[in-house]
Amino acid sequence: MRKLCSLLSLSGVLASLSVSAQEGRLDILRADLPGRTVFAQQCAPCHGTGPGDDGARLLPGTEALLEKYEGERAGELELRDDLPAPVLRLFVRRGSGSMPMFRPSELSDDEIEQIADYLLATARLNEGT
Amino acid sequence: MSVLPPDMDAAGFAALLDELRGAVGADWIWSGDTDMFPYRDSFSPVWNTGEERHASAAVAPENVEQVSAVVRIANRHRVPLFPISTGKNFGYGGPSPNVNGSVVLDLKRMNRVLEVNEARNFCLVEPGVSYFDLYRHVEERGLKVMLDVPDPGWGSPIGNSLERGVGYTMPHFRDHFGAHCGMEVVLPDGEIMRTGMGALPGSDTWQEYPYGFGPDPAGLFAQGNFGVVTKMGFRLLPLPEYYRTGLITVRKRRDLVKLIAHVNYLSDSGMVSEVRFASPLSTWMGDPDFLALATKAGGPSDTEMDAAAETFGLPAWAVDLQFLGPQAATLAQWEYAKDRILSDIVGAEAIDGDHFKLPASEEQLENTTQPYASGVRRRAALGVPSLGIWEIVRDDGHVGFFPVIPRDGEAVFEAQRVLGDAQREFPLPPYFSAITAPLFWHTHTFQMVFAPSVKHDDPEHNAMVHRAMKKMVAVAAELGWGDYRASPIYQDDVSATYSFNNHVLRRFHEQLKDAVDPDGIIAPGRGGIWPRRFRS
Repeated sequence: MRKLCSLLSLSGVLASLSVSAQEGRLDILRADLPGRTVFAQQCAPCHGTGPGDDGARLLPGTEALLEKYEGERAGELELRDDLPAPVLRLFVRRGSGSMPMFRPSELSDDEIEQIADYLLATARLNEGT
Repeated sequence: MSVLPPDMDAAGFAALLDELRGAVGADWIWSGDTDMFPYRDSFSPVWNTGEERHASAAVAPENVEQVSAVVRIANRHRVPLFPISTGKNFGYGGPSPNVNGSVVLDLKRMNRVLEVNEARNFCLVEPGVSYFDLYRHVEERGLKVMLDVPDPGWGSPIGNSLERGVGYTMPHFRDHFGAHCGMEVVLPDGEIMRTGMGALPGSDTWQEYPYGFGPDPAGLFAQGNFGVVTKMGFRLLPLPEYYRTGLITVRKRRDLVKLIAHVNYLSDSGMVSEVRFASPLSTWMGDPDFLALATKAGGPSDTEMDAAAETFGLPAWAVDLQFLGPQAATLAQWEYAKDRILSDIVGAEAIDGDHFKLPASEEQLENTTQPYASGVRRRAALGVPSLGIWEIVRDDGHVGFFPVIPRDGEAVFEAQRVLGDAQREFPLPPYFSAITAPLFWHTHTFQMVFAPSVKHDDPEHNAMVHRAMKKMVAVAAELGWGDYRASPIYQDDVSATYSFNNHVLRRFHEQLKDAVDPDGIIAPGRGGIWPRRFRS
């Protein structure tokens, strides 16, 4: 873990433990990449690591993914290293279940790439935790 | 499913797209099946059927001048535009249009918060600004104002208010259209108009006095199709100093009549924020015998319901009260509410709830310390946008029917009976039963909710839901309970129920539409208003 953090820092990918309300309260390491802000604003309100509203255990998207994969994959997208940009783009543009589609006017293909880079870097930062 | 605009061939469509590219840039035009997929209504009960509405293209301008240019181009080509703000109107059509082949006028790129004035308590925003964006703007600057947000918070103040959406704070802020003040509109011919004081050059009161001089056409742009709103002002609540909650319960079913009258007094006097009525008996709806009683045809008697409540040891009704203001004032208001209600309704009881200084901490927003079961969503109650409400979305989404019902206990009982009987033929959860509580969202009226889910891979289920929606709209209207908002696929049904004097309201709207937009450039069919071109 320490080695990974060091490698990422050396390559210019700084990590931090700071969290915003939109990101959630679970303290995970987060890669300081451009995709972090995009994820925090566009995805974290449903897929973040914090609790849901009014006593709900998890945010709705995180809870839904945990149920969908029955624990075989993390419900938190920031702990997933299997979401490259083409896969993300498919879910973003086509929707999935109760998650509606997102239009390029609100989330561009470039921003989806940034999110994918951020998720991969963040998942690797937290491997083994 | 690629579609073309009405009365247009492929060559004409290509020429249209070329002109639009010239107006907004090639990166901001989309067409074809793949690119247009996100412009479908993912909550549609007519998904993949012939009734689903498809847009032909989408165009995303970045400023009002480009909106004007797009409208002028659409006029030249006689192509209907369907304006959307953030496109999150789920349950009411999402980003999909009334007319097949319309070009979606996607205003998401117009996302500037132009002003938040904490001394005069208003804001001015563009259509692409979401509640999340506006909240972030306020928080980053430490401004002492409270937003009134719908749930979920990814919608836009402009889009939500133009749909007459609601929030959850003080009465006069919850009606989002009612809380607007001043708008800028691109008219169907491309001209840019400002309402109220915005029409007076040099005025600094556009967001303070909505009327200006003469008739105020602002209402035409809500659930209408008379222009494209490109700026809009809203009144904001000064950040209250304190938040206080309390619960009042009443024992008997018929106590609801008095309870509602008291709550009306408290709300109309400006003493309470949003209130939540509920029946504690709802916790027993999993019991087959009680379920059968609560959903009995014609409704159970008061005696039967009171006996059930006594058996379970539960009160018949409860109301969550919330107070915003100075600490001493919230305490005095809560004490007054308790005294007023408990001294009038035998057996009524009160429980003190959470109370704290504002702004709330993250822990207080999580709402885990309330000493009683509560239906209040804490973030929404304090104007904090969230997507937490998405936890209630089942399957692939839902449709929504929210009839407007008098703020009267007897009317609530009648709605429970009539709408409960009407939905019995459909295999759906009991949206209406003897324990259904009214929603007090709009400032001065009640609503109830009917929101069955849809399933993309189950056309039979969706067809049943579609039939149920149409039936509920019709049955409710027979009793004078009209829907307040509808998806494009239901707008004609709902519009038809507002039929006083041979539909004169609709005919008047059509006369106006014919005068300003006979070719139907702006959202023909929206609000049930069709221009001459499409009527024929």
